[in-house]
Amino acid sequence: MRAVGQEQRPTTWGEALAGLEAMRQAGRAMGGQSAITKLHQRGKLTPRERIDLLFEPGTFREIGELVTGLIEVPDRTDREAPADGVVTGWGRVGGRRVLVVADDGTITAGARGPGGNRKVAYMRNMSSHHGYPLVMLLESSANRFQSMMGAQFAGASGGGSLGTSPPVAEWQLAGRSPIVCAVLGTALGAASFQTMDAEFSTLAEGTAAMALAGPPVVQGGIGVETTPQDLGSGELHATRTGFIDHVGDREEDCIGAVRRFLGFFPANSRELPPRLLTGDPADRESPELADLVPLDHRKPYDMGELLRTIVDNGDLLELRPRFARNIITGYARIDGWTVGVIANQPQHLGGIVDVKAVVKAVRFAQICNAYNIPLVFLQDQPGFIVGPESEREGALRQVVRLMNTAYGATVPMITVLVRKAYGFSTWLLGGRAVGADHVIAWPSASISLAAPEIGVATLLRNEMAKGDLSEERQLELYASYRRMSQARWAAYDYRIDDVIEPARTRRELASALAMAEGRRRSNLRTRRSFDTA
Amino acid sequence: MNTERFLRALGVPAPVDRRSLPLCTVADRPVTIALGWSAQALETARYRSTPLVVVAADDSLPGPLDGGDEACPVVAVTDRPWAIGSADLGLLIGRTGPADHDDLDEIAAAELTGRFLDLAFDASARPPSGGGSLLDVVPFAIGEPYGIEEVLGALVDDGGWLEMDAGAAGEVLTAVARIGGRSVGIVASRPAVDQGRLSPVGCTRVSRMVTGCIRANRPLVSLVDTAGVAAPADAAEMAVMTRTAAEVRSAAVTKVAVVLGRAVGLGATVMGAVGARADVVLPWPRASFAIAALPSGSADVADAAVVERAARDGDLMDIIHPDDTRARVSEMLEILRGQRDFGR
Repeated sequence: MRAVGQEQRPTTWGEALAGLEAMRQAGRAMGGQSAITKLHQRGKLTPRERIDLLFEPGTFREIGELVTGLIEVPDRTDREAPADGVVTGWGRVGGRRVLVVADDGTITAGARGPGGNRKVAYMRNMSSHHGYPLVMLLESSANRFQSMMGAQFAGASGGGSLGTSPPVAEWQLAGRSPIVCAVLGTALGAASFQTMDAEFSTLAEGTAAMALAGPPVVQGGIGVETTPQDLGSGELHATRTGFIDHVGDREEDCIGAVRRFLGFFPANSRELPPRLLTGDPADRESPELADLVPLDHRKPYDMGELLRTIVDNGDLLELRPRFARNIITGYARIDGWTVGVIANQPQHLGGIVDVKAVVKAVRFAQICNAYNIPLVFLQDQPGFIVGPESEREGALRQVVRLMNTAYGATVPMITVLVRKAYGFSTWLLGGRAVGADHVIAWPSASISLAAPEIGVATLLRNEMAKGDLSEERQLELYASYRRMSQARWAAYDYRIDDVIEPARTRRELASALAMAEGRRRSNLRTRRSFDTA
Repeated sequence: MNTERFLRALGVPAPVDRRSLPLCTVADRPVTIALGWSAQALETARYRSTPLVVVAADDSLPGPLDGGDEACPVVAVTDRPWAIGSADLGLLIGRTGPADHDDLDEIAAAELTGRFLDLAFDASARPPSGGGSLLDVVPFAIGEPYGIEEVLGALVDDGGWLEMDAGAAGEVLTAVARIGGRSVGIVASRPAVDQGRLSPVGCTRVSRMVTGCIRANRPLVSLVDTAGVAAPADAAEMAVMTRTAAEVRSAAVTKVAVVLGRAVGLGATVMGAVGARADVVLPWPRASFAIAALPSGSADVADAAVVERAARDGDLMDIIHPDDTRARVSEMLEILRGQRDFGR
């Protein structure tokens, strides 16, 4: 316990204000110059440097600057923990108010005490109650070990002082105000849970890691020697787990990504995303698209390039780009409106919809739906992946999750069928069946239950097995099915809205988005949540 | 009070038909006028989304009034305020007390109505005129008297405040004003009167303010420097105090408390500083918090109560410079505004 009554109480305004300023300066000094130097040597930044990168200059208002923790270790002299190991407050990004919680790596590796927990609870409650985005710049974000030894652990989540209510849990925040987590240290336990539930997450490659439990616990539990990087490096999460939306080479990249993300997002789920006109005309035509996409369905092309051609200024914030590369998810603008893009990538596995692709798309679609962000689908896919391996991976569960998400979505959905639109997945990825507002196709599109080859193989299975079907007849049948699959047949009886020249895709999308304004507004009335990962 | 003279002073073209509920312009705003209370009058004003001024002068009885809401505050001008009994009323002007303002002639009553209908709505921010540091106004030492009016003058927008329950207990001042353009309810201790200790009548005054703020969805800003509550004489007085504390705590409006000096016991709760679920508490460096008034000279106990300790432990999020009060309160009102649209 801190001794009480040691300091002389001030007797004049001058003394009191000078004392206050001294307290503030002690708080700003963080863990001291040598600790700051050590942090820099490891390629990391202090919380105050990170905050400077996040906010527009001069907009940061610190809250809880005077909070001071006490680091007590048996048999050692007690030390003070300036700001109790976490810097909190608010500032502006793109002119809009954003809250921040920044762990201090110069003090007990970014662990905090009870005072620090109160500050974090205050920020979380403010985000939840007042509808502001909250950016968490995470180091360990753990509770300081020694202050949690003993039964006080029972109430360790901190008593909020925005009012006196306890801090809200992750699941209560999900879909209310966006929480953005930048993992800049070793995030274990609570910090990793927060990140898994965040609307957007980023992690610094090399200097940061995220896992359920760290090396000491792993050592104790299963007797295996590991490092934080073994357990949860940026590479692992970028390629294998797909838990992290963005992995940056440096902390600056991560914070830059946070700023970009916030620019696309509304402050909370009761607002529409800000419309930002950047001078890219809505009716800009892109004749290069016809050259980009080969008519031969077996030839790949880069869907990413197609997307960047269509959206405002080529600005696409792609999420989890190295995970499930057969599907692209990301935020962009069309005519200033924020949209969530979901598109097949024919360059990878032919753009097939597999288990990982569904996991990636479902999470993204749910977040867009929660935050009133219209979904734009671009389809070029042969359907769901089939076979024993994907069945063992639980393909059915994921397909039904996609189905439920798509049918439950209340935001505007606009779909472009670029080439292949085969199978049940053509309905679920923004088809008319799930209530898409506008479905348009390029002349290159084929719509069918299955590709012609699969259709023939299924229907004439016996004949093929007996060798009764000549190769010539097979090719004839394929051609016939291909003709029947042409998008214009769907347009003739209004099963889709239109067949358009590829060059006009952007202007068609812009006009469909303008038409969907009413639906976007009606979407504000209800609150929708989303699941983890 | 003469109805016709009052209406003429208000700028309403005479004669007014009892049933016509005419619209007139008061404080640059369309206002519905009713001669005598009727449910239909409030319904019409709500439909028109205008304030309602109910005139029940000339000894007529106004009937029980509904307090209106954010878009439709109700002002009642009557000779018999006791016949109304609505604590949630916007403003009550009477010939004899108890009302917000008594003993006014028609012209003063009309002026007051205009001022209230101006301050009841948000406008653009206008910094207060006059400078000077609050450090020169408020002595650092606790217990020395100062004028809360001077502090208020530096806090609220140019144009000042309109006091409510003007004739009631002196240890607390309640008013409607604007801070940074935002219409707010003010509850301020007057430490010069019994060290800001709240009497039962003072608590009632706070209660009336809180009720009005809830009706109008108006933030409550309190300036706290109270040595607690005056010792209650009986259970009834005690009940008034505890009930007011509960009202303040449960009021679902934005609450910002500035602690200028002492925040002691039940008085601190009634004033919105401790245990009142304030959205934010902004203490000055001379602030101190205690469960009961301290015996003089007990230095250790006094130190335990000072504000730095609470700020170090994270029980308070900051200590502010007195001259930053207006800026900090305006900032918080702007931030907490989200609550209105976002829900608590």
